[in-house]
Amino acid sequence: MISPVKIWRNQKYVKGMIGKTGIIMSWTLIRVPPADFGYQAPYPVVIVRLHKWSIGKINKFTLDKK
Amino acid sequence: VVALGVEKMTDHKPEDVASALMGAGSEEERLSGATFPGLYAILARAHMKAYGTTEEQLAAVAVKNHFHASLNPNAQFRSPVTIGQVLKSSCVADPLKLLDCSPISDGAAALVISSNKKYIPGGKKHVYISASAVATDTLGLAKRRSLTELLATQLSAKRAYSLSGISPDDVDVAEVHDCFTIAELFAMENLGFYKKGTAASAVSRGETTIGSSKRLVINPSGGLKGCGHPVGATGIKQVVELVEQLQGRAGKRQVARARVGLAHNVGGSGATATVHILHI
Repeated sequence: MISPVKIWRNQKYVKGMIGKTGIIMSWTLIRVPPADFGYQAPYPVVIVRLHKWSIGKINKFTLDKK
Repeated sequence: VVALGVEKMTDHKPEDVASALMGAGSEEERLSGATFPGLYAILARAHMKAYGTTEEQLAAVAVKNHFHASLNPNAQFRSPVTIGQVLKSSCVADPLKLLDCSPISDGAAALVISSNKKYIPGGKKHVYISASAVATDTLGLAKRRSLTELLATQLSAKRAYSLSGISPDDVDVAEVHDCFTIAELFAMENLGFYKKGTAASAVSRGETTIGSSKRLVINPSGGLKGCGHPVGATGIKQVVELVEQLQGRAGKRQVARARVGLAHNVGGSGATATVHILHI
């Protein structure tokens, strides 16, 4: 469980990351997650070129089971 | 001077170790749920896209380093693995699989360094430090100028070569930071041993393997991958291996005619890099 204080503290960061478009430069699918992310795995993490490169986790995606 | 590295990692759950290690990542990487296998997987994907590097070629790094580790009585893993075993191992962060990753390890290593020859025991070849250099880059991958090179490794190597007057072609044996199989390919190319995009095929051809190498052997100890990666001890362990190689005391894994050695250690996903060059 991520601390509510941490979530609150990161609101500015999250606000700055949403609603943008860009090009995926590289990506991975995290299958062995760190503590606090276990309930979300597997999930993709990508490097996106916006006005500058940024890293982030995609929350909605389709996993090809093959 | 005594330089000592010690690490104890196996008392903790893997996910707790993964979280602790991400202390060396950027805050935005931690918030994104990235792990070090994940960050190196991102680098691997970029390398594959730019140079056509394949998962089989990544696996060849693991095969080579496990073979070297099988010759090392101090290695954590002393069993060889095959390409097929690497490819069939469970996926940690696509495209990196379990056997592409260095393990969670315990270990320790120590060096005694002196500028006074009267403290150096007789009967052994003296090993000299030609150069030590360190360089840094951004903490997070997203702010790097490229995903297919490691600037800190390039800069620290350039400084070490300049300080020592030694070129990459002069190096006989290297211990490089293969925390993941892709990391060894990045090291080979950014230390100047191979041109960009050519390291993977060289490993597959056995050019860096004990017994088949004609120029340079990489990670004769088994590297982080096969010998183990006790994080706080790895840098010292690499230099200990070079000292044994240069003194001709490495047993079954001895590199023939080794006179110049290079140790390359990395912090985080390439935020810092150190290069030490030793010679006899």
